Amino acid sequence: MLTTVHTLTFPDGESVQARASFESPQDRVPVSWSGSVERVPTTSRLASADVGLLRVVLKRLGLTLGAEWNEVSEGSFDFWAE
Amino acid sequence: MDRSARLLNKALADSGITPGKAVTWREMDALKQALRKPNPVKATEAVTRVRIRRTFYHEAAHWVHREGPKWYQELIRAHFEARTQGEAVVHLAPYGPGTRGKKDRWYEIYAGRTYDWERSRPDGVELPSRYFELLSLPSPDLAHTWNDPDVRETLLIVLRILF
Repeated sequence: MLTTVHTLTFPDGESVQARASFESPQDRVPVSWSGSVERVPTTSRLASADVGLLRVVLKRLGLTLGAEWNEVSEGSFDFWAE
Repeated sequence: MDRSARLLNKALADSGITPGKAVTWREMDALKQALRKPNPVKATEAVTRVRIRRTFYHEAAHWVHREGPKWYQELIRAHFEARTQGEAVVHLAPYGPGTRGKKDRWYEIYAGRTYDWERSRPDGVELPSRYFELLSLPSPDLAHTWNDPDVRETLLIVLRILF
C-alpha cells in the first residue's frame, strides 16, 4: 500500500494537505483534505483520484495558487511488486 | 504482469480476438461478455471495473505501439530520449525493485520504465500505454490532466497514431 501526502504551502505560511492510499497506480481512491482547504477551488478539491491524477492536480494547484508543492510518499504498490 | 492484465488477456483469448486481424462486432460482443464474468481475482484482489477498463486501454496501446508503423515507434523513442536525456536508469519506487527506468516529469513514474532487453536505446514502451490510459478517465479527470503542459505534450505525441 502506498500512502502519499501532498502539501501546498502558501507564502503566508498556511498550508493544505491532500492524503490518499493506493493499492495500485490504477485505483481511484478517496482523497482526504485538511488544513486551509478553503483556499483550494472546489472544482480542484478532488473527492477521489488515482495516484497520477492527484499529483498532476496538486502540482498544477501549486503553480496557479502561488504555493510551494511538496509530495511525500511511504510504502509501495504491493499489487505490482515483482 | 498485473493480474487484471492476465484477466484481460484471458478475456481476449476467450472472445477469439487475434492480434493482427480485424476485429468483428461478434468478437467485441464476446469480449464484453467475458469481461462481465465473475472471477476469483476480483474477490481476492479487489480488481475493480475501473482498473480493468484502464488495463484494457493500457494493453491495447502496447499492441498498437508494437504492431504499428515504424515512424510511430521512432516518434515515441525520440520523445522518450529527448525528455530523459542525461538521466540515469534508477529503481522506480514505489514499484518493486525490478522496475527500473527514467523518472523525468511523467504524470506517473511507470511511464519512464525501461527494460533490460532495450540495451542503450530505450523504446519508451510504457509511454503509449500509460498515456492512452488517460482516455479511460471520466471527462473532468481527463480535463485536469490535459491542463498540465507536461502531460499534454506527451499525450499529443502518443495520440499521433490516430491522426
